[in-house]
Amino acid sequence: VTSKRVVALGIAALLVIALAAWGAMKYLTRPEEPAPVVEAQAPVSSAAPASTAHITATLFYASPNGQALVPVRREVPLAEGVEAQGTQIVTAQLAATPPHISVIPKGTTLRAFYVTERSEAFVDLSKEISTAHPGGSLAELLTVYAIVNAVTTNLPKVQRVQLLVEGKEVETIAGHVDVSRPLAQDTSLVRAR
Amino acid sequence: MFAPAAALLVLLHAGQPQGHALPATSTEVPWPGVTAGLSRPFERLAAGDRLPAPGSALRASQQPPPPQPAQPTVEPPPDALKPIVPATPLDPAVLASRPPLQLVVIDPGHGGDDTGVRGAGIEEKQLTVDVARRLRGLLEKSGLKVLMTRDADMTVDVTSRAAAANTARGDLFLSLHANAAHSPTPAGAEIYHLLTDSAVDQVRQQTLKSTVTIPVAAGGARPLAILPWEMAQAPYIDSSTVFATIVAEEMKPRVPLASTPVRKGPLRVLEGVAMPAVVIEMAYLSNPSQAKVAASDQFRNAVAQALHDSVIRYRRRLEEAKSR
Repeated sequence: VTSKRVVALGIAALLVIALAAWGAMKYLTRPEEPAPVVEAQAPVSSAAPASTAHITATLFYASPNGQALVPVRREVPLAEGVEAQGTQIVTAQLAATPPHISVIPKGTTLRAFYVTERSEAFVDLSKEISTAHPGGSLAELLTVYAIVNAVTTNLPKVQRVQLLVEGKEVETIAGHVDVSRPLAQDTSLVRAR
Repeated sequence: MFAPAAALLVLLHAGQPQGHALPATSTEVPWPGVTAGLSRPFERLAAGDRLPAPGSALRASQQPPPPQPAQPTVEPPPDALKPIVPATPLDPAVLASRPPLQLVVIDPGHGGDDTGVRGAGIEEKQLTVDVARRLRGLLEKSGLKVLMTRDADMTVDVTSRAAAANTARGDLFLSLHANAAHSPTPAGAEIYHLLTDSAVDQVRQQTLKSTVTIPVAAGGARPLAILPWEMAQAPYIDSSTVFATIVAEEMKPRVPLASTPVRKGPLRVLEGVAMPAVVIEMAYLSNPSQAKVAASDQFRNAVAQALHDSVIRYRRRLEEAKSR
């Protein structure tokens, strides 16, 4: 009798343990179900290609009287990392976008954009930034600081910006403003719209 | 921070905004490409011709100037400089009696291959040298010496222009330009002085505290404060700002002024100039009506007269400050 009782208790205990284990597994595996994650990722990964994701950046154009910069909020493509994002921002700044008055000479393109460990960005531009520039101190100041301000305003990691032309360091882009060293943001040229 | 090519400038220039230039000891022109007054060749000034100034970037002259030829301490630009003419020790009382402003450096912007702005058939390089010649005539009539960084259609790089002014130990630097904008609307004259940012100021403070000791021909040594080339203008920014304001006031009744006539910026030609210095953008050649006006003798004479009167007014201000 004793042995039968022991066997019965053992079977009962196993049943209880098995039942508890089943319940525990069911409970513990529920949060790992992929459904909610898939739902969260869906708008980016499937419904909208990554290339159309964007950020709202502040870019700079000439004021109506041509004597200052005005900030304009524009959408630019989202990119992974500060250098990739900087490339998108500068590319957008270089592009002519009427009715805004661009302060960038026509034909200027971005050759490279990189950021050093000293939080200094280097913007390598094509030769048109110099050869197609109208000249004059004010026009040159607006050109230089549209780029410097666009980078430093939208990329907090960047403290200073140096312009290069065709991969080389230059004293000026049109004979006036010293771009031989990294420049900090200058908002004195910026006016409210 | 700074361009590797940026030469260290040993600021032999002991001047300050109220510097005291002395009579020349040589008739050499600083170097090819730098021209002097039409009526007489530029008379070169000697090292040690100035009294040390409290707060000046130059600390070397805390000691009496050596009786023997000074070492050439200005790093030569690409066109090599000749050694600076030996200085003769002068009585401080004699120095104190000297006028505070004697040599004006006029820098006609652009030139040679660099035409500058073009508008309505006018090239900036032609306008600047023409007005510079008119201004030189007026200043010389008033008894001032004038150095022009170019007096022909020739290319002179920006660094050499500042070096010429420093080597000649000028008292005031006027760089003449014509402006342009990204649209045809802007008009009017603008006067620029140098803007430095906080990082530059930090470097300035560090370098002002540092000195080097150099041997002198007579034996012994003399300490010199050194500044990066980009820092040369830093001690003079306040004086430059005052002069820019005077220029704007003198121009206002004679030629159109821009809505913001006095501006500041990191202008390359000003950075290396060790004296009060401004850039004068006379008119916007990108504005067709302004370009047409700028072509006239009336406009050019008006600008030259306004700048002459500005220099005379600034000199009077220095003289009054000195007499107090």
